[in-house]
Amino acid sequence: MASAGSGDEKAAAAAMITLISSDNEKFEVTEATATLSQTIRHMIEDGCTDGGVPLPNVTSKILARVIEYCKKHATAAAGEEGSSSSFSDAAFLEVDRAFLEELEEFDDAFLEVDRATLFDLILAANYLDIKGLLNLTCQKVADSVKGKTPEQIREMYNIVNDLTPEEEAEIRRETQWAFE
Amino acid sequence: MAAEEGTGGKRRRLCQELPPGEDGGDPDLISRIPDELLGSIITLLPTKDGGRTQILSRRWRPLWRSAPLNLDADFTGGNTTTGYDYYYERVASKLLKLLSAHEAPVRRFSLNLNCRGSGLDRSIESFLQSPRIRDVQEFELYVRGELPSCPPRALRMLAHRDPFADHLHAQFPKPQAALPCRRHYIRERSLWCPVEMPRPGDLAAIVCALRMLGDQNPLTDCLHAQFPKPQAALPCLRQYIRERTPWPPVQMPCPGDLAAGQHLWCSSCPDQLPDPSKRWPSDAMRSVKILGFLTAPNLDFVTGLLKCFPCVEKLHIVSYTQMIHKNNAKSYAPLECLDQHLKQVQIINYEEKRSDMSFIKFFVLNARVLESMKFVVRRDKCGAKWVARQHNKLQVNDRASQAARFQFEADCSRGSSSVVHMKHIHDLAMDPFDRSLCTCHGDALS
Repeated sequence: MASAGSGDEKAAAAAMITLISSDNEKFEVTEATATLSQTIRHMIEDGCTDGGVPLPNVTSKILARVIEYCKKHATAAAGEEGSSSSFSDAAFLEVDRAFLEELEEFDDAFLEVDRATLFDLILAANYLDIKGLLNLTCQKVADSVKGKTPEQIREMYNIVNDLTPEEEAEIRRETQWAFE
Repeated sequence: MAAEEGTGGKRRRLCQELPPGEDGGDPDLISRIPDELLGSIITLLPTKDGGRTQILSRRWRPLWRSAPLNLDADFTGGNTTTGYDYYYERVASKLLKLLSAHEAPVRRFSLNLNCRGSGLDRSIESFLQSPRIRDVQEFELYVRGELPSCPPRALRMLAHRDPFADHLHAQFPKPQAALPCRRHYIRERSLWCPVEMPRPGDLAAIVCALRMLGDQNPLTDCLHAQFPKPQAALPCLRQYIRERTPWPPVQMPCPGDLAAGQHLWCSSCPDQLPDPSKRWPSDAMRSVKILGFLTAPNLDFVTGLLKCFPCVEKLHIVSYTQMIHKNNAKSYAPLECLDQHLKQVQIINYEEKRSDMSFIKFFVLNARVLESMKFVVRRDKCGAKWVARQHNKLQVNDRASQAARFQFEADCSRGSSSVVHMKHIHDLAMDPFDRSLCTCHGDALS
């Protein structure tokens, strides 16, 4: 709230948006945080955020996580505020690096969730069009699949193999390079 | 309260929806994800892992084919028994086959080379000619071992492809006889060549890379080229600088290389630098009007540089480490720059330190046509009392140019990226160090 808005943008920086989850919980966030979502950004641009933004596809539990992500990354985008003391001696370059590292740590910790939550986050990021969060969560799933055999992946995600042996043989033939 | 409810809700939901046991037991997990998003996941996988997802189930079978391709081209294997050239041909034909089976664009293309046969060139060429490679979004090039003539060619071939990747990453290994450079690193729109420079002929590759970065529109907003020890004759580099003016380093080759540049940005530690006046004939580069440092400059070094750039009108100094150098009070020969040209000095990251003071005082007391000196200070605010103290310490009353104004600006939010406006680094009409000239408010300066 007490962000040092600069001149003309003061009004915009202080503007708050209310997000309403599918289970009717209200979350108040700054516009800077909310506009990490392209979906919400467009709504704001169209001026249809009065009375709150209903998000019928996102539960309060997931929305709280999404907002946590957006808050952190909105701060990153705006340039760190309120950490001026850490600037005093370190090189600018190192400060930048340290901050990026901190952001990475945050992302890593953020992804420490069960698979159901992870998939919920993917769906929410997709619906809200938050590119960074979508990349982050999809990468997490990709990492979990990497280097695994098809059997292991099926087991991990309960994928039922409905291919006939003939079809499987065909795929192996067509994509031989992938199974070598 | 919302947060507490959130965690409580999580537990409840998990109990309701997930069958007992560890996570991943929910049969609905992945079926809830639309195909399009599964495609976004597949495209992040290494090539082989991506291809293997086709065999997971009926639903997965067509997904890989239509997901943007993540293509690793690995030419680093092979052995002497079957022959390297045979191996290269096999890899290239496999890759071509893979490309023909896949339908979506190539998102990322990573080319790994280790040349141990004469046929690598030909194999790569046949492969790179594929129109599919042309639209690649990300390109990475890694070269290992002995370096042949091929990577420059690969680079050159790619350089002419249009529009080129907006992510580039190239890495070359140890400096061998015919090696462009020890490490040649292009990453996310910036290019670093941190080690020894090669022979002039090898530079063609680097210049190609620079061109790729510089000439492609989306790439120009952050071009940072750093050349360490260039040799005397680098005609292509010279030409490049004339066209683009990247950030040439301090240890520049011959004066001609810089003659056409209007701003020069130096980023180096002065202790490692030779005395510029000894390397460069004085009076050589009258075209340079703007000079920037990202360093802890010392007076000897800067006055030496000003001899070479006698017409500099604006000087920008970013102190990102402490200015540790002791600037002893000694007399310097008159400088044309200080007597006739230097109008503006900007000190970014000014600190109230004695070494800073004596360094800056030199300009206060000697720049005769100075119009303004601006200090960007890492403080919350610059109070009148504090400013008066600085004036006193810097001997502002004794300034050589009575017309000079002194301005202190408190700014503790500046990071390294805001030092120079990247968007305008190539705009020769503009001073890229001056924020006030910038018309694209805020966007690239964060």
